[in-house]
Amino acid sequence: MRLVDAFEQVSLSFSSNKFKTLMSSLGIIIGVIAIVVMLSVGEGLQEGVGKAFGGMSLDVITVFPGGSNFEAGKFVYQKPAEFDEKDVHALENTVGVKTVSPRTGSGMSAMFRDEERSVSITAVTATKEPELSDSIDKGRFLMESDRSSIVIGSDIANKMFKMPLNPGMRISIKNKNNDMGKEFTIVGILKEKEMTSAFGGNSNMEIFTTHQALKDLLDVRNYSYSQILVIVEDQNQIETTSQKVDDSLRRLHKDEAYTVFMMKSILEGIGQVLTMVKYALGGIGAIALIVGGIGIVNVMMLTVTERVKEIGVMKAVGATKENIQMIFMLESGLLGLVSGLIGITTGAGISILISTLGSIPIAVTWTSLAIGLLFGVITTTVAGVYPANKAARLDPVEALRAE
Amino acid sequence: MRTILAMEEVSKSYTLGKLNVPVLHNINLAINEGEFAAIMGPSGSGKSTLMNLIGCLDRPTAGKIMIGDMDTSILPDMELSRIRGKKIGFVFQTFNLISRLTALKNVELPMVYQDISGAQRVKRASELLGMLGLGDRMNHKPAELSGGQRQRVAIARALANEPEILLADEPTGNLDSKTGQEIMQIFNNLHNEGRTILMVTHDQALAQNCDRIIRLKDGRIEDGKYG
Ligand SMILES: Nc1ncnc2c1ncn2[C@@H]1O[C@H](COP(=O)(O)OP(=O)(O)OP(=O)(O)O)[C@@H](O)[C@H]1O
Ligand SMILES: [Mg+2]
Repeated sequence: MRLVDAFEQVSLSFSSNKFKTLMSSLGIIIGVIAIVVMLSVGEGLQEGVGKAFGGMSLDVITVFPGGSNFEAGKFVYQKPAEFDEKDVHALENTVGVKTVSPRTGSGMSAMFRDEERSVSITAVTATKEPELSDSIDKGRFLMESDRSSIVIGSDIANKMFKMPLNPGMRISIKNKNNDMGKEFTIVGILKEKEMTSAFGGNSNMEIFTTHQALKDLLDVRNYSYSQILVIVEDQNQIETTSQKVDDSLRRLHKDEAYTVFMMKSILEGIGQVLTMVKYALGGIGAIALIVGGIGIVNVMMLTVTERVKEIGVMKAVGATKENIQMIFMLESGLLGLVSGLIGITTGAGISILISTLGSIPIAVTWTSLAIGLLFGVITTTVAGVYPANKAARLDPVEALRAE
Repeated sequence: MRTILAMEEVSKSYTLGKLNVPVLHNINLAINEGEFAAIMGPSGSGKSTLMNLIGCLDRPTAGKIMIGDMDTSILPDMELSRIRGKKIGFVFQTFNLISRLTALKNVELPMVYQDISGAQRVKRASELLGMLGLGDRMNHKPAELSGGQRQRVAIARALANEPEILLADEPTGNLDSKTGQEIMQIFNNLHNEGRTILMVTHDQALAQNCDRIIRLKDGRIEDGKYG
């Protein structure tokens, strides 16, 4: 039998009882809807989290003093390490490291006109911060020789004070428990960053200056760095490099506590959890589909029973077992395709509706739709195997005798 | 004269639970090409069982059934389907048309399983229906046709693949005598065209039209002489 003819036979039987056909595939439609909605919710969750963390550079290792004092479940106190120029040198000479930028952060008060605000100021080495110097919006970046210059984030410039700040303006910054402030000149304003990082607060609220300027402000000759940013040469080798970074530091800080931290491993962990959540949700849909599949088996069995006589006639005029099998398999497969299409359309609609009404991040992707459709077709096709075989094996004489 | 069908020592019994129910006993029968034979016998004598065996709808318990030079009793299912489709044309008492298909589609059906193209099928099916006087009823469904018309559709379907043998199991059994006569006339015409026909009937008058009457009683052939 030709495939077109098999299709024609199936379509003829479809058109003769549209309503029953649709009702029978309701289970599958609901299953497919469930899969699409679940996957979309999962995908949306993943995208949402991805956006929150997406701006993070994956090639950065952050080193900071102190750490968890627990080792193998026991409390072990270790003095926090104090990082200085020696550490910077050691890290710069570690294999796989591209740049090393030591930073020191400090809480301060900023005065502009009559307004006083709490700010945090970060001292950097001007020559070692390519990422910052590349994201200057107005003005220029710091120079190592600067003693009273600052570069500010876009929110500081536009939102913190009544009047927007521009390069060339001066603000006074003082150590909180110190009366005397110091005048700083704004030399540059950073571009607005899209995300607010999950760690380290709002990156548009930062103020950068040089280490020398901060030392002057704090009135100290020297201080230890509160963190060192290490950018690696190859992001794919970051685990190895971080191990080497750890080795280099361990030599200098034998019994001291410090932490080597990679955003990448955190992101990977979160990603894994989200993927699991997504597939768990999809699994709920799959269960719905299996229930729907059992419904299809039922309905197809009913169809076979109803058409016993017809199957007898088909066999009497020359249909082989394989012909009968093909017709019934095609019928259930087509049922799956139609229900699947209805299911993914409805599922996409419901997902969009939920996301609009509930302002939940939901992302309908082609992959989710394809998975939904595929599962719908596979379930009905598999569900059709048993009824189709039963139909194919009918004894022609007995089938013809049926009423 | 070529023998088109030969049955040698064919027996058929059914098993009902543990009970063995013999229906046909050592049937020997030969049908020649172009012959029109009637099969008669009391109800339950095994006429339909015999027809089903010849038509490859069922297999004998013992014995050989030769159609042409093939022993159908040992053929695999696939081959039996092929013979049913190509060499046998079956006409039933209850018509056995598919109710959701039009007359034309019903006649096309045997050709569908022989991979004949749609255009050719329509051509052949409408020729046959036209020949049987149903040219204006081709797109009617069985429910919209009279008994006689339905049986004519069934005859057209049986002829679709130019079978070697036409089997008819009480084709007039569900028809009034006038319509029965008309159907009988169709079989006579087919016989005159040279077709081989085997027909079960209870009607002695109709049987008189045939070359030969085979009488079955209790699963045995009582009398199969030409006459
Ligand atoms: N599937 C079956 N199982 C058991 N016995 C059967 C089966 N089919 C037929 N028989 C028996 O075989 C015998 C012959 O049946 P068959 O239908 O061939 O008779 P028939 O001559 O065609 O009768 P009728 O003139 O009433 O159509 C009957 O006794 C019947 O009960
Ligand atoms: Mg009978």
